[in-house]
Amino acid sequence: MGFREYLAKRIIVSFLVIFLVATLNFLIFIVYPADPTRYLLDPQLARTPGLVDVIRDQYGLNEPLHVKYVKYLGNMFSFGILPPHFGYSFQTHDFVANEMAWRMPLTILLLGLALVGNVIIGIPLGIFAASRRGTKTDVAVIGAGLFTYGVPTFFVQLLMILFFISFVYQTYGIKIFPAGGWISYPNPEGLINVMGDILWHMALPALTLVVAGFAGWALYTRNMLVDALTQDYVATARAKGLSERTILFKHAFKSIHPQVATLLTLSLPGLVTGAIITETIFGLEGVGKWYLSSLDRSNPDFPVVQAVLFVVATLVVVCNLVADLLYGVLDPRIRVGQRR
Amino acid sequence: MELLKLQNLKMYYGTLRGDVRAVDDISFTMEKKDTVGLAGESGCGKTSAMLAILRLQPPNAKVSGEILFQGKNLLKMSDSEFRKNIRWKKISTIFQGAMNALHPTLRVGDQITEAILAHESRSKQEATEIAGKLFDLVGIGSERLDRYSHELSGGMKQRTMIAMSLACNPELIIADEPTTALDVIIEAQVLKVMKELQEKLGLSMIVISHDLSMIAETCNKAAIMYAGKIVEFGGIVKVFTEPLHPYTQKLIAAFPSILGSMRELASISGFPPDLLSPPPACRFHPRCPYAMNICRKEEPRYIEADQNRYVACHLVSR
Amino acid sequence: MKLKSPISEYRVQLWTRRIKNFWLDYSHNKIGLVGLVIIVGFVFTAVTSPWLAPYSVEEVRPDALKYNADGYAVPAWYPIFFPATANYPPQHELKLNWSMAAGELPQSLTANGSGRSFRVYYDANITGSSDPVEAVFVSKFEYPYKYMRIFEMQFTYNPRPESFVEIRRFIAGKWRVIGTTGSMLWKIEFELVRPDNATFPFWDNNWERNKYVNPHALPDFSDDATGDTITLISSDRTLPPKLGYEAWETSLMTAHLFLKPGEYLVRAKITFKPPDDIPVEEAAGSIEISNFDVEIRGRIHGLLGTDAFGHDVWSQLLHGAAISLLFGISSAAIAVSLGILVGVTAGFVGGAVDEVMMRIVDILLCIPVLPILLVLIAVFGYSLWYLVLIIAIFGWQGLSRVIRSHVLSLREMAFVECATASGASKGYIILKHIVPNVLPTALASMVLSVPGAIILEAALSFLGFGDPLAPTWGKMLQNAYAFGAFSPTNLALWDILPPGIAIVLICMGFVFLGHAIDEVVNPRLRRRR
Repeated sequence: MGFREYLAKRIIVSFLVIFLVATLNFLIFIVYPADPTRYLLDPQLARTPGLVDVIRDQYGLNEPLHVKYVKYLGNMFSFGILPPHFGYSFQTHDFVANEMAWRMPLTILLLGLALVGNVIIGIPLGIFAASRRGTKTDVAVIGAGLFTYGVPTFFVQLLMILFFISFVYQTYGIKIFPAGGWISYPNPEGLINVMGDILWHMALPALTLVVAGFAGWALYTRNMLVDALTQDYVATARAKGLSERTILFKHAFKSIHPQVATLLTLSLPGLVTGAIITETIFGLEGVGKWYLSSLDRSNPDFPVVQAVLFVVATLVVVCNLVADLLYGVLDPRIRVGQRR
Repeated sequence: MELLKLQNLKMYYGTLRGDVRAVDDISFTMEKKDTVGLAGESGCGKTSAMLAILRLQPPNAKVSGEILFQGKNLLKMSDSEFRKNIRWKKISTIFQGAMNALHPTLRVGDQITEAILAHESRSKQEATEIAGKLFDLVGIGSERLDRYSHELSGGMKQRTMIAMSLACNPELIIADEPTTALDVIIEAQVLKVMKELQEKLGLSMIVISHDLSMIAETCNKAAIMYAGKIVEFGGIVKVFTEPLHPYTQKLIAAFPSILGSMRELASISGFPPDLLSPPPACRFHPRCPYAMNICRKEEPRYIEADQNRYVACHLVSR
Repeated sequence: MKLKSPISEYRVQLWTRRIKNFWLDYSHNKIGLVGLVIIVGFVFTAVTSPWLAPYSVEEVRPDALKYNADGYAVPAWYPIFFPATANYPPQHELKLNWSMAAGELPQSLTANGSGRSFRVYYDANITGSSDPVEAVFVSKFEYPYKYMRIFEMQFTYNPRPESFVEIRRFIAGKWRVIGTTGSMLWKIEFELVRPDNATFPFWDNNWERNKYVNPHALPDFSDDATGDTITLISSDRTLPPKLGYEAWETSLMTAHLFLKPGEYLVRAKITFKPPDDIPVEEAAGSIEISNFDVEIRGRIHGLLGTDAFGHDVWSQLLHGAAISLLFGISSAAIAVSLGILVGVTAGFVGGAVDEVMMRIVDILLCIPVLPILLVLIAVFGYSLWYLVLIIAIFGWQGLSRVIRSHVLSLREMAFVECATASGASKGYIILKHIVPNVLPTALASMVLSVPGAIILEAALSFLGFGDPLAPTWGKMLQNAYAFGAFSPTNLALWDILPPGIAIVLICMGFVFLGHAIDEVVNPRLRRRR
C-alpha cells in the first residue's frame, strides 16, 4: 500500500469518526429533558401567546428532527466559518463561533505556556534521571513522577492559590501574582502593556499546570530512555568506547524520538481537561470555563457545548492522524502508519 | 607474551534472593593469534564472562579477580582510561543477536565511523572510506553503508557486526554466539568470512558458543564451562579427541558427526543447576555417571593435567 | 466417595506456590509495603468510619441544619501553634434550668414546676384586682470565654387560658359568634444579664391574648402566641435593635453580648392582667415556658474544626474514605474486566476484529474524558453508581492494549500450541491458559487505575458535578473553595488540606501498590532500577 493510499484511507476513516462523534453529540441533546424556551424567556413573557413559538423558530427548535440533523451537520462541518457559525448561543444570542473566537486565544496561550513549561523541564529532567539510573536523583524523579500520578491537578492549584494569593498577597501584601481573572481592571493602556498584563495573569495558572505535570513527563521520558538504555545496541555503543554522553543522546535518546513526538501530539487533546479546571479555578475567560458554565443545569447552552465537543473531537482525530504520520517519519523501521 | 590472562575471575549478580554465581572462579590464558572457544550449555556463564572482560556488566553484578590484558589489569583501570584505550581499540566484540545489537534508527555506516572517530584522529571522510573497505572485506559492499539495520538481512547484519568489530584494528575480538540466529547456509558464509579474516589479519579471538562444531571449526583452544566454572581447558584437538572431564565427554557425545559412524546421540540426564544455590563441591556431581563420595564433599581443584591442559575433576586429580 | 482430581490438587499447589513466591518478592519491595500500609489504613478507616466518626453522614451533609460549631471553627489543637486562638470558645449547647427569682409571688399567681419547664397560673379572682401581676424566673449559666460570634436561642411557650369568651360581631343584621378568645392578657419578656450587670432585653411580646375561631377551636395563625417555638438567631436583623444596637450592627452585637467571662443570667418575666371585656374575676389561665436552649456556636471544634456550614470536618473526612475507596475500586474493577474482554478478544481473534478494536482504542485513548463526563452528567443526571460505570467505560483502553500484546505473545507459546494440538477448544484455551496468565498484569493495571478514577471523581465533585449530598473529598474542597476558606480572614487550612492530602495519600497508596505489583509480575521492569 502506497503512502497516498494510506493517507487517503486514514483521512476517510478520520472523517467517519468525526461524523460519528458529531451524530452522538446531536443525539445526546435530544435526550436532554429541558426545553430551552423555559429559561430563555422571562416567565411573564412566556405567557404571551405565540411568543414561545417565535423563540423556538428563531433557534430552529420547531423543525422536524431530520431537518435539524442535516442543518446541524452542515453547521458543524463548516467549522463555524459559514453562517450560522455553529448556531446561536442561548445565553448571549451571538454566534457561537464569535464567542469561541475571542476565548480561544486565551486557552491556547494558557495551554501552550503549560505544555512548553512541562516539556522543557520534564524531558531534560527525565534524560538526566535516566543517565543516573539507580542514584538518589533518579529515585527522586521516579518518586516525583509517581507522586504526580496520584495528585489531582486542582489540588496543586488550590495549594498554590493558598500560598501565593491567600498568604503572600492577601495576608502579607506582596503581589507576585494577581488574585485571579485574565486582565487587570481598569485595563492597562497600550497593546504591549495589555499583552504583558495578560501574560502576568496567565503566569500562575500556567505555573500550577507545570508544577502538577512536569514530573509525569520526566518519569515517562526516563522510563522510555531507560528501556532504550537496556537495549543491546546501547551495549554495543558502550563496547565501542563511546562516551556516556554520546550514548545517551545520540543512541538512546534518538531511538525514543518517535515515541516522544507521538506522546506530545497525543497529549494535546488531554490538555482540554486541564483547561476546564484551571480556567474555572482562576477565573480565566477561556473555552474551558465557558464550556463548564454552558453545562449549568439551570441554564444550559447546547449550541456552545456541541460546538466545543465537536472541536475537541476534531482535535483528537487530527492528533491521532498526525501522531501516526510523525511516527512513520521519525522511525525508519516503520512504514508510515504502523504505530505500536 | 600472553595476550589475555584471566585469574580467579568471579562475577556474582546480586538479586533479592541472594547472589547468582554466574562466573565462579575461572582462569585461563591465551596467547596472541590464539582463538579460544568458550563452550557450554545456555546459562553456564559464558556471556557473563565476556561482559566482565568488556566491563559491560549490569550494575548489580560484582566482579572480582584479575583480568590481565597485555600485562595490565583491566579491572583496576579507571573508567575513562578503559573506555578510551581498551574498548574497541584493543578489544572489540561481535554481539549475539545482531538484529538487536545494531542501532535501529542510525545508518549502519555511521555506526562504524563513529567507532573509528571515537578512537582515532581521522576525518569523517577517511573514516567512511575505512568503513567502506571493511564492508567490502566482509562481502557486503560499500554501497550498503547508508542503509538502516532493518534493511539488511540477518547474515548481512552479522557481517556488519564483524566489519564493525574490525574498525579499529583490535588486538582481541570477542565473538558472542556470532552465528546463533542464522540459518545454516548463512552461518557457513559468516564462518567462512571469520576464518578468512582470521588468517588474513592474524586475529586473536574468543568465540563463545554452545555449538561445539563451530568451535571446532574456528578455534585452536577450547574452554568448556559448566555452571559458572571452567571444567576443562586445552588445545582444541586434545579436548575434542581425548576429553578428560566427564562433562566434556558427555557434551561431545551429544553432538552429531557427519563423518563418524552412525550412532545414537547421547544426552546428559538432569538439568543445569540453579546458579543461586549450585550443588556443593563438584557442581556436576548430580549428573555425573562417575560421581564418587569425594565429589559430593570436596570441590575439585583446577589443575594442569598435561602441558597447557587444565581440568577440574577428582577423576583426574587422583 | 468423592475422588480428588490430581489436576485440581496440582492447581491448588501451583497457586499456593505462586502466591507464596509473589509475597516473597513483594515483601522485599519497600515502596510496595508503604503502599500496602496506606491502603490497609484507608480500608480500616472506611470500614470503621461509622463508629470512628463523631457525627453521622446525615449530620455533616451540607443540607444538615444543625451546626456542630460556627462556620470555620478552628481545630482544637490550633492554640498550640496559633496562641491568638487560645481563648476561642468551644460549642456551648445549654439546656437552661429555671428557678423562681427571690421574693414572693403575688397572691394571684402560683407557679408549678422547675427545671426544664415551669408553668405559672393566674387567677384574678383571688385578689379581684385588675392590676398587672408578674412572676420572674431566672436561669444561670457559666460562660467562661471572652467572645463569640453566633448564638441561637430556642424556647417554647404555651399559654392556656382558663376559659374562653365568645367574640360576637354584628354581621348582616345579626350578632354572630365568630370565635373565642382567652380569659387573660399576658406578656413575656426575656432579658440576658451579663456578668457586669449590663442587661439586654432580647425578646418580648406585647400584651397578647389567645384567640380561636369557632366552631372547631382551630388556632388562629395570624396570632403567633399559641404554644409556639421561638428561635432567635444572632444573624437575625431584628435582634440588634432589641438589644440596643442599630439593625446593621449584628457583628458588634455578637462581639459584645458574651464579652465578659462569668455567670450569665437569663431572666424570664411573665406578666398577666385581666382583659377589659370580661369581668375581672373571670380572668384566669396559665403559661408554660419550656425547653429553653441556648446554643453559642463554638469557634474551636474537634479534631479538624468545621467547614463553611459549621459541620465537623473530621467526620466528613472519615466518611469520604469509604466513598473514595468504593468508587475507585469498583470503577477500576469494571474497567479492568472490560479491558481483559477487549484485549483477549482482539489478541486471540486477531485480524479485522483486532484492527477495528485497536483503532477504537487509539481514538478513545486520546479522548479527554472530563468534558464528556460533564456532558453525560449534565444530560443524564448524577448518581454515584452511574458515574462509576461511565468512568469505567472510559478507563479500559490502556489496559486492553497491554493485555492484547500479552495475549499475542502467549498465543505463540508452546503450551498454547500443545493445548491446541491436544484438541482443546478456543474457549478452553482462553479460560484456562490465556486469562490466568494475563491476570497478574491485569491486577497491577487495576490497582494503578484506581487513582485515576478517584481523582476524576474528585475533579467532578470539585467542579460541582458530583453528588450534592455525598460527603466526598472533592465536594469538601469545592465547598472550601466556594465558601471562603481561602479568604485571609478564615484561612481554613483544616478544611483545605485534609481532604486534599487524603486524596493524594490514597492515590499514592494505590500507585505504590500497583507499581510494586507491576515490578513483581513484570520482572523486566526491575531492570530499570
